[in-house]
This record gives sequence, C-alpha cells and structure tokens, in this order.
Amino acid sequence: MTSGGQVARKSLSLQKAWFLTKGRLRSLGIVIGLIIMILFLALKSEAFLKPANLLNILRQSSVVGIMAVGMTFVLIVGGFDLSVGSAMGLAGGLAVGLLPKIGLGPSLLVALLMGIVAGMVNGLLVVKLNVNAFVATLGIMNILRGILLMYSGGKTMFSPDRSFALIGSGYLGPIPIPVVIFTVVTLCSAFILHRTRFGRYIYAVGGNEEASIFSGIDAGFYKAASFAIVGLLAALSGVVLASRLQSVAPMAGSGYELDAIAAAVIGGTSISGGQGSIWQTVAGVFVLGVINNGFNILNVNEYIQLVFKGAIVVAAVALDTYSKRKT
Amino acid sequence: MVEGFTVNMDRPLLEIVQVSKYFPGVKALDKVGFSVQKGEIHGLAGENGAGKSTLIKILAGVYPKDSGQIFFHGTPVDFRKPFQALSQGISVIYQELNLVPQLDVISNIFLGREYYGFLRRLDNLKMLQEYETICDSVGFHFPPHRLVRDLSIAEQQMVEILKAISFNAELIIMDEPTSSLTERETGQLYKVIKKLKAQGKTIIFISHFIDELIELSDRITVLRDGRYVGTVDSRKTSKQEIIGMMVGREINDIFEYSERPRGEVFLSVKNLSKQGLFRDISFEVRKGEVLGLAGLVGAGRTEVAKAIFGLHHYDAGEITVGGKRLVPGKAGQAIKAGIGLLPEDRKRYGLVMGLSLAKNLTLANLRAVSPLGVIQAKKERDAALQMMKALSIKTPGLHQIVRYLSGGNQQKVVFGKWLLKDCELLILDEPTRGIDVGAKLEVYRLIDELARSGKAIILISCELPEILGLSDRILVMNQGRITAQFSRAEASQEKIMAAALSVV
Ligand SMILES: Nc1ncnc2c1ncn2[C@@H]1O[C@H](COP(=O)(O)OP(=O)(O)OP(=O)(O)O)[C@@H](O)[C@H]1O
Ligand SMILES: [Mg+2]
Repeated sequence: MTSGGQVARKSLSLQKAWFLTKGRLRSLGIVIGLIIMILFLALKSEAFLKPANLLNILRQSSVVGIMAVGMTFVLIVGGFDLSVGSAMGLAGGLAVGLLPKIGLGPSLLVALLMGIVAGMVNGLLVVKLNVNAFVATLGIMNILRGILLMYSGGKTMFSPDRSFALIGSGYLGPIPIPVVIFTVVTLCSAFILHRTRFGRYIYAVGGNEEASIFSGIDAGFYKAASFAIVGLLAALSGVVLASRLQSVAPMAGSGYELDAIAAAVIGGTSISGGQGSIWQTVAGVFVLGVINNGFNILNVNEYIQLVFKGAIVVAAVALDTYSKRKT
Repeated sequence: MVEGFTVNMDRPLLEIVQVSKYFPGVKALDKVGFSVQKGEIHGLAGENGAGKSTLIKILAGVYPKDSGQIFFHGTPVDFRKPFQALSQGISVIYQELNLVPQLDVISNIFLGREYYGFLRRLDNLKMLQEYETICDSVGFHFPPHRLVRDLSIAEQQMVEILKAISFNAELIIMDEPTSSLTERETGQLYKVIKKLKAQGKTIIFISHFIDELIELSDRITVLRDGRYVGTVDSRKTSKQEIIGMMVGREINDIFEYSERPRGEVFLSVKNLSKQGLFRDISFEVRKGEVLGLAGLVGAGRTEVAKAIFGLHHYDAGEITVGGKRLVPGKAGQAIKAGIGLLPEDRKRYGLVMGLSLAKNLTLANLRAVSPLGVIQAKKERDAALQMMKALSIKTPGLHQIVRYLSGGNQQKVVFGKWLLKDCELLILDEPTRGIDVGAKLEVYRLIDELARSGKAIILISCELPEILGLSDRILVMNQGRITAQFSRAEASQEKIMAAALSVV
C-alpha cells in the first residue's frame, strides 16, 4: 500500500509536470527540432556553421519568409490563400516588364499595388460572395498565372537594370538586402498582429467569427484585410525574387504558396484559424531553410528532400492535433 | 481499501473513493469520495469551479482520473472512452451541449445507434416511432426534423435530455439540466426524474438552484474547491446550510431592490413582426430602467432581442433609438447606436474559446485599452483583473484559455465582457446561466449599478425570481406576442405564469 501510494504520487507529479509543459511544448518543440538539426549539420559539415553559409540560409529563406508571414495573417483569420504564388510571379513580371517604360519606383509601386488588389479580390469573393477560400483563391491563382503568361508571351522576361538587381543581390553592410526586408516585414507584422487592436481582432475573428460579430467587430473587414496583406507581401517577395534572378520565368513563384503554408503550419499556426504567431511562422521558415541548405551541403538528392519536407509538415500537424485532443 | 473485494449486493451503486484530478495550475479534484445508492436522486452542489463537472466527466470516461478508485455495482471501473460508460449503463447530460448542429433532432438522438432495415437502409419509421415514445414519456414535443442549429439553448438542452433518457441507462447524470429551462419545462423534467426513480433508476443531478436540489433529491453532496465537504439528507437540511457548506460562510442570497431614477425613452419598438417568430411587438425602454422579458422557452424573446440588435430582418414595424430609426438587419448600426447584446449561447456567440480570459474580457471594448490602435498591456490587464475580482472568476490566471474554465466561470467572463463594454442599451439574454448563488447576487448588484448609471437594460431570463427581483417593468411574451405588461408593484409569479401559459 505505501509503496503503491508513493508510486502513484510520483507518477502524479510527473503527470502534472507533463501537463504544465504540454501547452508550450508545441512552440518549444520546433525550436528544439531546429537546434538538433543545426547541431547535426554542424557536426556533419564544416561549411555549415560558417557565417557566409548562415547568411546564405537567411537570404534563401527571406523570399518564402516574407510570403509566409503574410500567410500567417490569413490562416489565423480562418482563411487560406493558394493564389500567392501566382501573385508573386505576376508582381515580378510587372516590375521587370514596366521598369524600362515607367522607371524603377513606379514599376515597383504597380507590382505591389497589383498584389494588394489581388488580395482584395480574394477577400471580396470570400467575404461578400461567401465563396470558399480554397476555391476562390484557386480561381484567382489561375487567373493571375494566365495574366502573367499573356503579359510575358510565355517567355522568360529579363531585366538588365542594375539598381533593380540591388533589391535581391545588394547588401546593407554585411547583411543581404532581402534579409533586411524580411526582418522589417517580420517586425512590423509581429507588432501589428500581437500588439494592436487590428491584430487582436484577426485572432478573434479566426477563433470565433460569430462571437466576434456579437462583440461589435466587423469580421468581414478583417478577413478581407488579411487577404490584402498576404497579397501585398506575396508581391513584395515576387519583386525580391525577380530582382535576385534578374528575370521572371512564366511559372515563377509557382509552388511558393505551398511552402509558405508549410512554414506557417510547421510553426504551429492552425489551418482552422484563431491560432499561431509570427514568431512561430519564422521558426517554421528557418526549419525549411535549414533543411534545404543542409541537404544541399550533404549533397542529398532533391527528390528525397521533397519527401522529407512533406513528412515534416504532416508530422507537425499531427503532433498539433494530438496535443490539442489530449487536453 | 481492501484488496480482492467481492461483489456485494448491499454495496452502493456507485462508490467514488479518493478521486483526484489535476489540470495545469488547478487541483480540480482532491481526494473526493462519496457514494450514490441505487434508486436515489443524488444532488451535487458547489460553487463555480468546485469540480462538479470534472467529477462527472471522470465517471463518464471523458477524462482519466489521476488517482483514486471508482466502483460501479461494486466492481472497480476505469472508463477511458464515454461509450464504455454508456455501455455499462451510465448516461450523461453534459453542461456544454454536445449536439451536431447540422443534423436534425432525431438524427442527433439516434446518432451512432441508428436502426437499420433491409440492405442497411436507415429504418426511419422505427426511429420515428421510438422518438414519439420517448417524447411522450418526457412530455417535450419537438418536430423531429428541425435542425439543431436553429434551436435555442433551452431547446437544445431539452433534446439532450431526450437523448440521455433514450439510452434507458441505469445511472443518469445531469449537469445543470435546468440552467436554461423555464418553469414549465423544469416542471416536466422533475416529473420525468421522479418517474425514472420510480422505475428504480438512479440520478445524479447538478444544479445551482438550491431550492430545486432540496426539493428533488434524496441526498445532496457538496464540493468546495475540489474537496468533498459532506453529504446531507435533503429532508433534514436547509438552503442556508447548503450554501454555508458551499461557500464556507454565511451569505445572503436576496437582492434588495430600491427605486431607481428613470430618464427619457431610449429605445422604442413599434409593431415589430416577423413571420413565424414574433408578431406586433411594441414597447419602450427608458434610460435607467430594467425591463424584464418573461416567457416560456420558444416564446420569441431571443428573436426580438436579435431583431433589435440587427441580426434579424423583420417583416413589419420599426425600431427607433433616440428618435432615429434603425435599418433592419444591420448589426453594425445597432452597435453604433449604443446597443449591446449579451447572447444566451456563450459557446457559440459569447466567447472565443481559444483566447485567454483577459482577451475575451476586453474584446467587446478593446478600444478603451487601445487608444491609437495599440493595445496597452497594463490597461488591458487592469481592466481584466478588475472584472476577475468583481465576479470572483476562478482561474489560475488571466492568461488561462477560456475553454478550460468551468461553465459558470465562462458565463462570468461573458457577463464581464459586456459589463466592460460601454453601451447605452444592454440586452442581457440569460446573463446568469450556470452562475452560482454567491456570484449571482454580485451580478444582480452590477446590473442594478448599470441601470443607476443611466443605462437602459432589457433582461431576458428563464428564472422568474431573477426577473421579478431586478426589473422595473415586466413584459410577458407568449408564442411570439406580448400578452401582458406589469409594473414592478403589480407583478407576481402567478400572474406572469398565467400570461406566459395562456393560449393565444
Ligand atoms: N480541461 C481543463 N483544463 C484545465 N482546467 C480545467 C479543465 N476543466 C476544468 N478545469 C478547472 O477545474 C476546476 C473545476 O472545474 P469544473 O468544470 O469541474 O467546475 P464545476 O464545479 O463544474 O463548475 P461550474 O458550476 O462553473 O460548472 C476549475 O477551476 C476549472 O477551471
Ligand atoms: Mg460544471
């Protein structure tokens, strides 16, 4: 009896400890995973921890990172956006195509505006016409891609402009410009999402739209605004990519929407809305970035990379659902 | 505990021995033990967050217990899934309603145990017949094919009761089944419970209405802060004793009304009609006044409230606020005009379950803590803390996710949220559903204070004493129409019931 009691008490306190940590486990898990990966790669390859390589990872992560940060808004508000990859391609195409005609500033402006407008169209479809976000953005994805194909005539567009190329390839001191842009976008977004009324309403609408309406929140506005934000950031990432490559292929950006969603989801943002954070998404972006970079360093075949990335996304979501069901 | 027990016919039907349960930061149950005899109605009382629901969820296999033992029929049981408890003869009505909103009433009742006919086609006729039998025995009659999402909370509660009874279980546990029912339905439920008892069934009944517990049950067990306080014989106890056991001190549960100054008319509703929901509704509410809306379940009170708040269109009539006419069906406009609606359905309309206590409390009035759009953490914390204290919300902290609060504490958050909201007219639809005796009195004081500060208040409640105690004027609705109007002095329980029940 006594020893049994002791065992029971011990397992009890263990259980309590487990309960207490479980809530944070999710965001902690991803950081631990990231650290383990970094340690593993550092042991495997000397090149990995070199500052140049680390900066390289940051730069490679920036393009998808900018978009993933935007995607976080849409996912938290309870939406979904498949059109961002096409918006990214079209933004790059517009910037490159218009640059010789109207100059650098205006062409960038047009590209970014296009992103906002595309996002707003998504938002209106979802909010006003009640089209399912998946379907609406699938349609817009095809429309935007079609526009880029028509605009480019199906051919890769090149930009020889030196100052345009700086956006993707330049440095601010030792830091690549895309990293600077990504950092600024992240900081601004985190501030908006976590510190402002606007951000709080995004969580509320995603968590329970009906309750938000009863609380006096114009739910439709916040949904539409989230789509506009991801549209803008998708266009921005498109410009960075185009500038880095100094060209825009007809299928540029395609597939990025899935990477962005994957990054957010790996970070712990819920597909069903109301949950997640910018920091978690950024962690997810780095996980993907480290995997890409590490596999390249280790010379792992690209097909295996894909399998691995897919598995990580599924594992992250499964872990998430599991821990939710248990509490 | 003796190891190697023998099955003993004299043992109680259910024995709970030293059961403990932890949640992060909360000891929900601390070595609770008592037993329930076969064939008795066993009342369970305790303040909000005392551990009542947790205990029955453990009995039903929703949560695993951390330690302790449970004996059913003298045999130790440890259910890990609700269907295990059900198959052993334990059926539960949970405090949070758990129906599938997209399905109709009858599909919900037979969910998971549908009757099949030839070629595994659903045998709808058989289910319908059985449904009618259950309805007859209980005395609730629902169109079997109404969708659950269109039902009010009280109606959903009644469907849950039908469902729990239809299992023909030996032990039926009811977690606050009457919290949203009006007099008539409550009376029907009592009859059903007594009938079940006569058939030899055992009932565990949780309620915050102490009178009800004393009247209905044979014995009452009281929990406080997750601990067992005692079990008393209902015939030999008093309301004061039970409350004393619950709270650990004497409290007065009677709200003292005193005259309030009344201002000008704030809201006026004229000849409002909507097909099938309400007809020819006309009334006014003044600033500083509490207008009570009484009536049975389904009388149309919530529907009128939603129309005023702009969530329903209406076919005819008009609503004016401060002389200005409101456009039908525009919630945004009603909000701008200073109207707030505390909804009866806290899970669906009242709370964002995944957000914290503090974030929910400030959600309806976020502007006050975020001038310039940036949330000021300190202001938000202060506002939330003030409500948490005023309503004695039991929680490990302001950051606790609302989903993990007990039902009554969730309701306190809903009330606190609308209390923080700064509006001129507050429509309170069942503001105290599930709130315990002591906290209820505090809620009454706060409503009184609001009215005194010049707000207009419409109070909808299934509890007549609550309406009688707080209101300056009382309207009675019956089948979508206003059938009587009383001043505070004229009103009485009998008169209101007569007007609520009369055939129109
Ligand atoms: N899933 C959960 N996670 C964390 N804490 C919980 C959970 N469920 C209940 N609690 C906590 O356990 C305590 C007991 O809750 P319980 O729901 O049993 O109270 P109750 O007696 O039913 O109260 P009420 O009268 O308000 O329904 C409360 O402090 C509550 O916050
Ligand atoms: Mg409860």
